Amino acid sequence: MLAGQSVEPNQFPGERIETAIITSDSPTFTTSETVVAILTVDVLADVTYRVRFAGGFGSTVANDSIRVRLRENALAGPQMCVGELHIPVVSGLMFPITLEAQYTAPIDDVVSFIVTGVRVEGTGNCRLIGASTAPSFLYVEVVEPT
Amino acid sequence: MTVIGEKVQQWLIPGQRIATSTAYVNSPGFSSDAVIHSVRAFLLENHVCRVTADIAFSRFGGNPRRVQAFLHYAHAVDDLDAQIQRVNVYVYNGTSIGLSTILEGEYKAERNGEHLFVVVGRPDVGNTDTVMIANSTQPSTMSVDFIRYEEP
Repeated sequence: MLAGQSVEPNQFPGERIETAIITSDSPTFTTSETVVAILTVDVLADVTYRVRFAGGFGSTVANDSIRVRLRENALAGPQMCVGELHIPVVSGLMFPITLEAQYTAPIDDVVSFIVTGVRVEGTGNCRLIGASTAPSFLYVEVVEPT
Repeated sequence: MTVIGEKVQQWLIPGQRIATSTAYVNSPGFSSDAVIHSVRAFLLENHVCRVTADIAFSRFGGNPRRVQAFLHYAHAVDDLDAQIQRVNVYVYNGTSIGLSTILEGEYKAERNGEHLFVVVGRPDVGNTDTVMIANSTQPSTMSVDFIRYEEP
């Protein structure tokens, strides 16, 4: 690459396309699956992207378990990745989870990636936790350019 | 601010790995805040990087316990500055195999030059035998990747 050369997006493996930095808690959720984070991205046809969530959850009651999903577009959209998280203690503490999936765009489009949470064990009010000094992240990077 | 004679490196490619630090030996046991891992990276002003720590904790005896892990920018290992991330880990088993966790955060450099990032471990009060686990087959890694440039 030459100095002064213009750089177009979606060209480099590892290139960050969009980032959501979540610095405040989500609304609480219990046994209904709830959207806790969303990121909308312009994608290009035939480019493969990495979609990654690196964040944390907490609950008001110890020993709850939370199922965390990465979905495409909406609550009823395709599930891209899922994981479960045990919350052993309370006090608003953030317990981390990372979810990652690949997405290949069929056409040039605008796509939303969402993170959802649902309590699958226990009785507490659960939430995604975010703070300025302990943020949660949802971001998209290029894996394979066209 | 760049000064005459200063070596400036340009990170041209988003996603480019700038620095990696891999630990192959356990940290000393700790019972209060302790720096347990670190990485140094040469950064450019207004460049945003991803700082990641992929580490594991264990305990040698005692009851299951909670460990907090903090990711900091630091002037030196004994002079911590901005907190970038904080997570909690609950260590159930007291074995030589650690319970792994990932700390991930972003940091925007305010100057050109070498930057130090550290992980601080903080066990529950009274626990004296908590360690960061690292060996040749289970290393604990810290890394710094360039993400993007932000206009000042």
